[in-house]
Amino acid sequence: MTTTAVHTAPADDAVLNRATLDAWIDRITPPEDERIDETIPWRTSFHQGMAAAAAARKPLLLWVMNGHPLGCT
Amino acid sequence: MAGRRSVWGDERVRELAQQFVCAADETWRLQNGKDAECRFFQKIASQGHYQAKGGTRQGYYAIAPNGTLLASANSRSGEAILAMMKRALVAWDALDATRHVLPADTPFEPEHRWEASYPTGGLVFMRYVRDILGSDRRWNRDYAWFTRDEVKELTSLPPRPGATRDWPQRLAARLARFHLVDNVRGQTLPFAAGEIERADLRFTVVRATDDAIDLELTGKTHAVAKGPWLLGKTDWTPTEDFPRTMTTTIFGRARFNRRSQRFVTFSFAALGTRTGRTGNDGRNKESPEPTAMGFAFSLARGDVTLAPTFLEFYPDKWVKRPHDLGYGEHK
Repeated sequence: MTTTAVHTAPADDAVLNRATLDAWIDRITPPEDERIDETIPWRTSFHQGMAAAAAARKPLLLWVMNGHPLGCT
Repeated sequence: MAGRRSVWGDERVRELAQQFVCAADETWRLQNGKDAECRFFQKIASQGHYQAKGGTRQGYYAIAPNGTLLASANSRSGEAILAMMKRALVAWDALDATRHVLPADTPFEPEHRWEASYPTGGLVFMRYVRDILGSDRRWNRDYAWFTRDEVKELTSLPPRPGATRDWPQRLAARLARFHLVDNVRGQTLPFAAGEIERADLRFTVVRATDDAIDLELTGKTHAVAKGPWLLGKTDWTPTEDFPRTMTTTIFGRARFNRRSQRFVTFSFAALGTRTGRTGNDGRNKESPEPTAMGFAFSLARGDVTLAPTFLEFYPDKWVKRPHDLGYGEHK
């Protein structure tokens, strides 16, 4: 089995408080260019998409994954 | 997950997508379920890029409203998805206009979806998670829901600086069980109630006016799964034991509008240490040593009603389950 190198220091020493909260949120939240899919005006289900496509007389572009693509995949 | 950026980071894909109605959904239910929505999807997807019986149907599908498959592909390449979309538009233009509408007799409504439990007027978080040490930049997201009544419970504290309110244990434990989990690299498993050894969260009033209360959130959680699955037979039931732990420290801040009884800002982080793994969480090639993780929670956009991954395990009566609606478990 291959073992991927990962730094293993636990987070026990990490300081999370009033002064550091914003920095931690920024560090954990992906930059906008990595979650640019969130800028698309998605319908969040197949049936909503079909209904909207029919109403707009447009084709539907459906993205499906194991785990909702806009949630946890 | 990588496809989020590689496909949607392509400006040409985003521009051409304007010629479509875009929808996203979870494929496990669609490809295995038995209701009208699922059967409609299965009929279309079985003509697409994956046709093996019982195999995955992940990917992109361009579909005319009458159910005609225009094109499909599964790729992390923006170029490949762009080409598929172009093929789809050519096919769309060649279709008789009658196929641009959904026939009135086509059933495609779902019997049950978890989004039906969306807590209108409550508290909805978008949650990001990532490893916070090392060079791996992968991340994942999910949602966490609290109802309006639960918000009322959380905020029932005197509006004076220094006043505190410990979160009800069931709400703190729910956060630890379903949202402080290691799904950085892929789907994982929730913790059972008995696996939460600590879930202590507390609000402290920092400032209060007639209009708003500013709160700080502090907390600690500790979950220990010894291995055996304790949540019964579900679609998530693993075929082997997965011992694992998660320990976190939490800090956050929020502003609660006393007039609207809504949080107008609320963000918190949880820094954690994890051990162990589950079947699909992508940790099987890593060292078994503890690693550090970070969770960031913030208010979700109001138009995002996507259900939390583990909503079906929330131990709450407000969650509308298939049998509540008179249907079988068509997941």
